[in-house]
Amino acid sequence: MNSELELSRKSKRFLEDLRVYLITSRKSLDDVNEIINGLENHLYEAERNGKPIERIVGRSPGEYMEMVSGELTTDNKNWFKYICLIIFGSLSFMIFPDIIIMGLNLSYTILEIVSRIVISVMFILFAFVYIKYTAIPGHSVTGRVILLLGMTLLFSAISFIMIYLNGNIDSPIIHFGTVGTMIVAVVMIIFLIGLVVWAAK
Amino acid sequence: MSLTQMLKGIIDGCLLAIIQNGEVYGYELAEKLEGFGFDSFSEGTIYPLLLRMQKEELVTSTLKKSTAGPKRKYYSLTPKGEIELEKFIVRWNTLQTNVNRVLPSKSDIEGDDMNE
Repeated sequence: MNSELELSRKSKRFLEDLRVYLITSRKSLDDVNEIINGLENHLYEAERNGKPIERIVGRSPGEYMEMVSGELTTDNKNWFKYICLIIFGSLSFMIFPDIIIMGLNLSYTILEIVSRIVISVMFILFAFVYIKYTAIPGHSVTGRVILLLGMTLLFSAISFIMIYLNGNIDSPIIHFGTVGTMIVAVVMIIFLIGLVVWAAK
Repeated sequence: MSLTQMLKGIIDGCLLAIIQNGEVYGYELAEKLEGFGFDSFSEGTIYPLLLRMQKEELVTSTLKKSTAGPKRKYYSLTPKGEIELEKFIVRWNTLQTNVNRVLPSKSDIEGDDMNE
């Protein structure tokens, strides 16, 4: 957003919500920026001419958001890349403490690896659903609390089931060995450095 | 059927027709649409449409400085956009003629009322 433009609080809030809604709807960041910039300039000029925001986005901002989202193509390829980065990132945070504890003798059961991936995917999914829901104006606080509570309970239940299965079901163990553990550590370090450089761009 | 649903598809052609008359920026385009009677139309609706038309290479845009505020993005028609507009006009004329044939004219309705 252009920070130099002085917009009303209502317009600023709407643009922020629209950005969040479109991003969590897996739209391309370039398209989102294009829409937000066009709309921001339009709102700036409209406010100078005394037009209410409803004239620009209609009486139901939620419907307007859905309309914009429907017009834009979904960028699944790009978002799949981000999701892989998040999953890989969360796995690296799991692996480093394990290397410190286990030394150069890393080993995981297949169930453990699968459950970590499932929990990461679920976390991303729930976060997207909740953020998208809260971005739509008009949703009540009660609705938000119920959604958050429901998702937290479901997430906790699945996490506990995974932990229980890991402790009670025999699943094949993958031993990385000294060389394997060193390779995993080096790959993770390179990945994290790359992630920091990419994020800082 | 709501007016918004009826307008879907038609508004693209109207935008192309307005842009053909000379390059315009988003706010100006919305004002012109309003001036032509599309006053129930939310002005912000044009931006996703313009973005799609840019991707389809029907319109191009250039940023120009403005004395009244931020830079404005001016839209102009491409040769592909000109062809699309011509196609739209043909389709619209056919549609309009057919719809007018189906709908009874005002004089027919008044005539029926008199007979009753």
